[in-house]
Amino acid sequence: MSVDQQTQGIILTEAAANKVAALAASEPDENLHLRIGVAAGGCSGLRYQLTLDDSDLDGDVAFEWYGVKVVTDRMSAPYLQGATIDFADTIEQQGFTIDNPNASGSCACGDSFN
Amino acid sequence: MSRVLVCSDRIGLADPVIASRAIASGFASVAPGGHQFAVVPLASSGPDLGAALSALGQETTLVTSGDPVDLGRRTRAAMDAGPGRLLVDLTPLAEATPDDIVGLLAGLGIDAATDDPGRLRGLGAAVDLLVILPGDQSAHRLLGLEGVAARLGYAAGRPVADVLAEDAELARRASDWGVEDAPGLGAAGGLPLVFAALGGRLLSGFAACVAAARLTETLSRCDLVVVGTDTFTIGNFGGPAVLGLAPLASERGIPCLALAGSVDISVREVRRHGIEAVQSLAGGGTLDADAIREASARVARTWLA
Repeated sequence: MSVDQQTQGIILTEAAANKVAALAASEPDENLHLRIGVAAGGCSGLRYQLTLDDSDLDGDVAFEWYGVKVVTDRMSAPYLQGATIDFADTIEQQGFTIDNPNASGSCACGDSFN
Repeated sequence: MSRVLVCSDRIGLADPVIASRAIASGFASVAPGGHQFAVVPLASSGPDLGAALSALGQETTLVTSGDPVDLGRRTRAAMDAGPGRLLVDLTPLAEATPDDIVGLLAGLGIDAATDDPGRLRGLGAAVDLLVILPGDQSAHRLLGLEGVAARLGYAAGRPVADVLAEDAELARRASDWGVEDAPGLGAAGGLPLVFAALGGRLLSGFAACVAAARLTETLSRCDLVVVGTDTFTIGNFGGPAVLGLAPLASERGIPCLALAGSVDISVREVRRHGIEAVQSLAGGGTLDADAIREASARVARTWLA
């Protein structure tokens, strides 16, 4: 895993950035970016929401890694400071993973945390 | 000689005041003159709460409704009637949403779009306002990811933009009315925000009874706590009265005995939550004061020997 060093905010690994770019390229819409949010729910209390969209909401916080933009809304931003989004495609794990230093616990599926 | 604190919620046909007195009477009949009893009714909402607070020396005017506009009208009428203590029970509006704030304001005679924020604040100047929150919502906050807009909005599948807009609107209202976010403000769809702007104090029915009775002071001087409730199951764990009182007794090292109209929970679960034992009064919803008194006396013989 390689990570372009930025001091704070949400971190996107090169593997994750490449995957986002590939997914965005397959969509008809242009100017898509990765949006990550946190919402109440899931088995551990809070859950992540990952989408590709082109929305620009008031208060959005954005970072760019390897030419890919990752955005979160103002409500979710405090919960994602320093979180790393990676992409794995191995026999043990497939898909985006989120390593969040703010999470004190998480469920086995990795989609929910507290 | 033991000092026994007897607290009860409604049991069967007996409201909290009658049930508490019946339990104490039953216990006292077994040990006349040998023990001291303090009796405190506990209720979470509605007329039972009004009766409990009245028995505890706090005369209140109770206002409640399942419709926010009607609640606003009733509250305004009660405030206009003159100074006094007003109890607004929000438990029928536990499923309200932030959209209902406009209706509540309309009922109060406030135009949400045009009226000066100070007009709302001035309405409640002469009234001691207590706002009873739905029991399981006392910790709900108004704003942010754990606030009412996010909690209800994401559960309903609303877009992020809509949730953020509603959260921002609530923040604006709170700022205009000089109210800071706090636990309970996000209960009942955020309706407590309006009552906080009126100067209201937010609390659960149980907390209102505890405050009225100065219960924590009494607890520190008693040797045994007896709490009554209608049903005691693994699902409700005895309801608000037991859930609230058991930890207070446990942290003071005071044994707590529960009496219930019907019991459906294991001994192990009961002990894990600080209750020494739960005894069935064997009557369920048909119990009246006499039956409660008689059943309590039977239980007391094994505890006050």
